[in-house]
Amino acid sequence: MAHIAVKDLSFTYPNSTKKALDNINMEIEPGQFILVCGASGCSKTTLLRHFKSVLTPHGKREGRIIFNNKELSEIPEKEQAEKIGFVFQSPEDQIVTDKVWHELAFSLESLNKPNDVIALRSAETAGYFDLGDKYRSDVNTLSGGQKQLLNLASVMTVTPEVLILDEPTSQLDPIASDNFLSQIKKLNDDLGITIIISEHNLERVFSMADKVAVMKDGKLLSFDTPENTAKSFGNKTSDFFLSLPSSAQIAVMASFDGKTPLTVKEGRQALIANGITDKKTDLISSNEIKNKENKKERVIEIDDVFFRYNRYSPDVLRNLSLDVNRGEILCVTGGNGEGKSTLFSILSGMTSPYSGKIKAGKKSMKPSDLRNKTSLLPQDVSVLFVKDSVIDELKEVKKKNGETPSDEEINKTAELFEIDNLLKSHPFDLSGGEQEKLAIAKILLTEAEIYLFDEPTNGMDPTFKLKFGEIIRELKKSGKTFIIVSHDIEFSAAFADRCVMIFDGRVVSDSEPREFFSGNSFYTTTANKIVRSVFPDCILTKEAWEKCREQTEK
Amino acid sequence: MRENRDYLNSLHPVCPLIYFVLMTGVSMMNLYPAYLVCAFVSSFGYAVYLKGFRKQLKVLYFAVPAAVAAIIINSLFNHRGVTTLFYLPDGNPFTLESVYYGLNFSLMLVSVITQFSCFNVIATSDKTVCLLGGIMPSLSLFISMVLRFVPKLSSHINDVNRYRNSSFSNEKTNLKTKISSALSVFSSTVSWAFESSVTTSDSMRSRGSSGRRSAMSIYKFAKREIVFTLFLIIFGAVSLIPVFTKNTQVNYYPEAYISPFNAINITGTACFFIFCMLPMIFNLTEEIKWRISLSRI
Repeated sequence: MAHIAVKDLSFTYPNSTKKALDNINMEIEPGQFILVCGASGCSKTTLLRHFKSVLTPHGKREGRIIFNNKELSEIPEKEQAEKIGFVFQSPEDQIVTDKVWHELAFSLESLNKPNDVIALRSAETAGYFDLGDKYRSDVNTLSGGQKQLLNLASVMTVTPEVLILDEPTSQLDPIASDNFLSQIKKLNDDLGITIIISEHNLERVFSMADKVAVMKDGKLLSFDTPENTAKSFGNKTSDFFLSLPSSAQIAVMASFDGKTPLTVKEGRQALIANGITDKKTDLISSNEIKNKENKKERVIEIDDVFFRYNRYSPDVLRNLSLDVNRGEILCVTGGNGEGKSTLFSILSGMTSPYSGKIKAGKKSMKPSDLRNKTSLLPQDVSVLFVKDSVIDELKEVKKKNGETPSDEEINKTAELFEIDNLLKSHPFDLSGGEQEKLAIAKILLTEAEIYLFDEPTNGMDPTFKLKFGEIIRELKKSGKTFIIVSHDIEFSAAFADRCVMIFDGRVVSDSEPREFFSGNSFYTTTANKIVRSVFPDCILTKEAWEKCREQTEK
Repeated sequence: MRENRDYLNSLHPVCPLIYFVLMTGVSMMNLYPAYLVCAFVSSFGYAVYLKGFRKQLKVLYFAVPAAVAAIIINSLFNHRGVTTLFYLPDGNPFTLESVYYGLNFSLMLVSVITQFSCFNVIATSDKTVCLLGGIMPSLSLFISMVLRFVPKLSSHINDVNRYRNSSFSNEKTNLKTKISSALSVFSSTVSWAFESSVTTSDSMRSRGSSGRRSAMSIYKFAKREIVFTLFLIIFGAVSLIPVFTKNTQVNYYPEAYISPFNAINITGTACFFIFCMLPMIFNLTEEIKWRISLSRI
């Protein structure tokens, strides 16, 4: 008996001719872990929202959804609230109350349970999710990862039968994301809760799933076990290929025998099983040779900068020195709260350090000078949107030299960022990935000398990430400099000219990506983790499979 | 600062409610100087315990000038009273009684301000939510939501402003561009607030928040609360007796008259002083109990 069955579901949004969901058929058994994936805007969210009546969007619907052998539309709202839990994408916006204890009690209060029942369930749940010491704190003292865990805990206080999660880790850093996914897996293992989760970054979650649903343009392309999905999409021409875990990509492209590996551990074992051995290889690419040869012109020098937020708080930046060269892509990494966003505040002229200098050439830069030189893309891109339509947003941009961009430039940029079909939409109607693209387009239209990007790849699907990397590589040829703060190790490894790590308020490591990542034990790409025993210099998935293919083809 | 160790702060909110309502109510309704002095001295001591001397002194920097202003303004505009000190330029008398009244009133003003200093520390959102939740659960939820939303909104406005200034700032910033920029920021924040609220409301609906709800409270009304409330009621009632039996009358016009001290008055004042000092007394006993138990280890 299926826990949830979707029969011939089709859905069209109002005022739209294209079907958002096209004839979806799925059967989900109790206790299964289901992963839904696909490119941005392919209706994963629309499908997930159909599993709860209160969240189902308005529009033309055909087909049925059956929950526990009853039509979903006939199950009363309170029963659905108790049996089906939903966790949304944004950790911030989901939280309703101002205290952790109140948020945990919210679901049970809504179901009109008495005080002692609420107290017991809150205690149990807080213990399970390790929120006990934060029980009486304010919600805004929690980090992003902790907030998302709080959201999960709040939904879990009523112990639903089904838990639906819509891209829950897209706004979290890798550590918080790993932690969150482990909690979900634990819920599935320990309590047998049916999990339906949609994700972009499949590295961790792909092997956790019992079944993977791949969607494209509203259609369900495949609904099969992870191994079979990896095999059927294991073809470089398929869009979905790049979303597969690195070990699967390597195994498929190098034609490994045996079961397709899905995790790092399985990848390593597959390497050994297929006899890939250590060979001295020369992995320096032509791009890197060019970098080494070009004479570097310094565009910004940061000298011994100190910064703190108020007089009695500790220093956030302590003796930080960094040189940035013209025409380079510099990736800044480091844990949460280490000062990366603070560095950007200073570089963009929003605040100034209480000691130390920012220089360009010989001239010392004041905040107003820096404001003219740099454009900053914030982590939360919605702060940039002030108009009612995408086209108006692009039109209101002012270039750094005071001019407004021409219509031609705007159209070219819109096409480049794949938002030319969305010009009349309201910015807040766009999906997360589309909003990111719009924000980057706006920043690039300002034509600043130095671009500061704070987590630009959040919520981007792998295909567009490559495209974005190529775009900035193209732009740096005309002398633009990019400083990117990113948790996305894969992106930094592929596109950075230089990587720096900030820790303890200063720069602790500054080298080229290959040296940087292959030298690290923990903070390195997945490909490197898989193949480092045989190819220690290899940091990109593409390189890894090429090297393996050389050996398997013999 | 010391609110985590404070006895009154850890009790069920009904106790501080009774305490403050009675103390502030008596101070505001009744001008009897003895009572006002008791309230002021106790509140000042309590505020210094909770916030530290420097911070409370800063409050006085504001309160004392206000009091002085009250005295002067009252005398300038109030000409009742029999004893004339001198005549003002417009012919009206500047009377001694008006000065007395001004003094009494300022004493009340400073006393009430100090009481509110203590109240600010003790009255947290958790307590308000607990009290209102008993009466009307949706109201307490509403307060929580407001307390969540307002800081989020103000920090968002700040962010939008800063990012616009850094990335999209204009060379010339005259009044027109400043206003247009401010309007852009405001409009953007309103749109963001709507979108964010839609997600919040989705999150609420999906957890079943329509219809009747209960309210959870993290405070329990246990033995400690019963003991403290008994103390409050006993001392409070005795201090109210002189007030209701007209033993604490204060009149300045036409002649200054303050009820003379008699047995009822003095008992009432003493009880009121103890009443106002109850939080500090309990803190002290807790401190002593701690030291004794520590010394036994």
